[in-house]
Amino acid sequence: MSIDTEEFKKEFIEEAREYLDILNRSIIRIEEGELDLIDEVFRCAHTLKGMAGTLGYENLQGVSHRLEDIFDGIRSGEITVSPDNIDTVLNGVDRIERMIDKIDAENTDDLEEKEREKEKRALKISITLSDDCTLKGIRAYLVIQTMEEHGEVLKITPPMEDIEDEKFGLDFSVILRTDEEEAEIREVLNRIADLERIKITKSEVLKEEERAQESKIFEYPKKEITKEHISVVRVDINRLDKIMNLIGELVISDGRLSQIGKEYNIVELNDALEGAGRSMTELQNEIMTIRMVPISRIFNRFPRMVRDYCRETGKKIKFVMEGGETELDRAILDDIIDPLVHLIRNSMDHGIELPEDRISVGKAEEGYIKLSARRERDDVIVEVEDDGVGIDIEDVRRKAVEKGILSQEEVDKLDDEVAKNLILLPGFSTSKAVGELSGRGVGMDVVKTRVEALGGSVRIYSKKGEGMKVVLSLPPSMAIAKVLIADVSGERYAIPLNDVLEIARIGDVGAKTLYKRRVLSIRGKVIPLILLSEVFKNRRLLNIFNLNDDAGGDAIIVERNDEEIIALVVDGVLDQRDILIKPLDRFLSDIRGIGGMTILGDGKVVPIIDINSLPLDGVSNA
Amino acid sequence: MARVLIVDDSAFMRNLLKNVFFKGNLDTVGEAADGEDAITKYKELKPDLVTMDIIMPNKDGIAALKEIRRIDQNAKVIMVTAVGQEKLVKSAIKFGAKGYIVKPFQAPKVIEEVKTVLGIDG
Repeated sequence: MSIDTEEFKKEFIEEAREYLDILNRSIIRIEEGELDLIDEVFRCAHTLKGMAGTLGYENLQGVSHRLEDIFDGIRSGEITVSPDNIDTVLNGVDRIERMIDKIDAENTDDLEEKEREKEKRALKISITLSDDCTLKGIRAYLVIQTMEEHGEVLKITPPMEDIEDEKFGLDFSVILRTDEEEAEIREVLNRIADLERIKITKSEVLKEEERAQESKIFEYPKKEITKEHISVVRVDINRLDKIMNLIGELVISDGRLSQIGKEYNIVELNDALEGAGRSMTELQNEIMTIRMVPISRIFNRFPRMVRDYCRETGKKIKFVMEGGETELDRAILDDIIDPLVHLIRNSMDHGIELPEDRISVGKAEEGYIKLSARRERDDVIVEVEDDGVGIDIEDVRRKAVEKGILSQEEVDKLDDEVAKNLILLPGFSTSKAVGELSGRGVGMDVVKTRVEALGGSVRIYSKKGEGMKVVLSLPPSMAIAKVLIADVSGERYAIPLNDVLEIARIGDVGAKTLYKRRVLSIRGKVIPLILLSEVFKNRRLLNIFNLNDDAGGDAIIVERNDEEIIALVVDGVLDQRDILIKPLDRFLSDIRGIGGMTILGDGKVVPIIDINSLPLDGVSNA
Repeated sequence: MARVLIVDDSAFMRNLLKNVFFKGNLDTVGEAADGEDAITKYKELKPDLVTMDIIMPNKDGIAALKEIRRIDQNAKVIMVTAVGQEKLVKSAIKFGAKGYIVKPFQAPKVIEEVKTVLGIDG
């Protein structure tokens, strides 16, 4: 089995076990009368069925399907919630559980297949004889003989000959393969006199040379005993989230303390905080690293999806993946599954043409879709690229008018670059027929919303007839960010340092109005300029256009959407620090230019500026 | 109180053990002087534990052990042995002996052995 399939299987099993957990809990509550849980268990059974079907586990699919039918019957009132019926349901759930176990261990869901002998465990039993023990060789022999009655003795240290000749001190050990529990074995040993100390542990891996010697008897499953298995701990992601939040709180407290240190000018406090700050940064980094998962975890599901699609539709697609080793925060990873599924379906459905159509326009018979990921500066870039029909800008313009999204005049004014982005708007779809796969209600707008909610951005590149490329740029991890704290007319705003290229004093560079647009000229480059005080409708406007050298104000030069450079004008940069990003409430989340909130050391809430959604001209809807 | 059957062809050794058991708060419910006698007394008395000498007339200790274990597969039998009889003790262990005591006796060791096999604390 390839590593990829193995990884995918693990994920399937993990998820299936979660559903089993819900089923087990909810079914009992349904029996107790909580009938509204029936929808939940129905969904579980349905999803299990779907997953099992996708992976070709037919037995599992069958049982899940039967459960689904029963739940449906209960929901419609055809089947009563009697103890007998609940028994039947629970038996089914148990059966699924055994199948999952079997898939985990043997990669088959066939329970009827001759059950393999129950995995036996190996115990290492270390004995120290009491120092007044007489005939210690015999005592050791008694122990070994007794152990033989409770399992299979795999190894004796020192070797039996030495024990018989009493060529050992007071210590010897036995590796025992047994079905019995550790406690039972201990109880048996407690009935043997002259044993000063009894230590029982799960057996360690036999060393290579011993394994060679013992190969015929050493056949219990690796997963029980390999070092790797022992040193890896599985942790609920929620626990990491909790630790993350706690660190966030620490960061806030730290900020508060450093504020106090500054206000009262306590040098010792500031020094001490510096050390604490370093540890906190390290702690953050560690947790961030723990949360990172290679993106192959989700990539691996796509080849199957593409293959199945091709079989159904007769399209020919060469599917290529790159950069699976790129790491992303687990939470972000989970959230980009749906957008990626949508993008790939989109490419298959609306992008890649049928083989005969491709040949007639002079393309290779086989279409091409590439899914790739890479680290670019502080972002992770995920791209879905195809060589299909691409975006027909005229078609997009027409659709936008048809759907009432824009008027004909508005559409005519748009340049191609902007018009292209219309497909990201809610309710937009350019496909002529509703596709089998992608026409299911998840539109490009959902992709955009999801990605932006993660602090990322979506860009579309396309040429009619040549294909399309959708670029998602994502933060590799979330929650804590380095920001500049800037003063804007007496109010503080946080600007992600990630986006900042340079900070310049307005007086040094010079702002001017060029063709009615405010610009900044820096080293011969002209950069559009945004007054944050205008954007956020602050009462006191900056007066920098007097071009007075003493005019206060810093220009923070930032990169926007990875290509455009703009300057944000603020009254001054106050500080640079780590902050915990708190997501905006739902009703605030569509404010243009604001990506979140943070709480500073003095307890004040400060908005975090989202450079990419900052309105270039005009005023935020804040 | 735990009930013990002492099997030994020497009356001196039986008395010695009886004395040790008495001090150890163990009840000697019977004595046998050979293997044959041991089997009869075991059936009759159903003791919690047997101390079994190995070298005896009329069926040795190992033969008696085998028979007793056949009658009662949970029988707890401790072999009484001396240095030089290791081979015999080993075969007794193979046939289900639960422990052994070595002549010359040290009273505390004998009590410890018996109580450990019986699962009595102290």
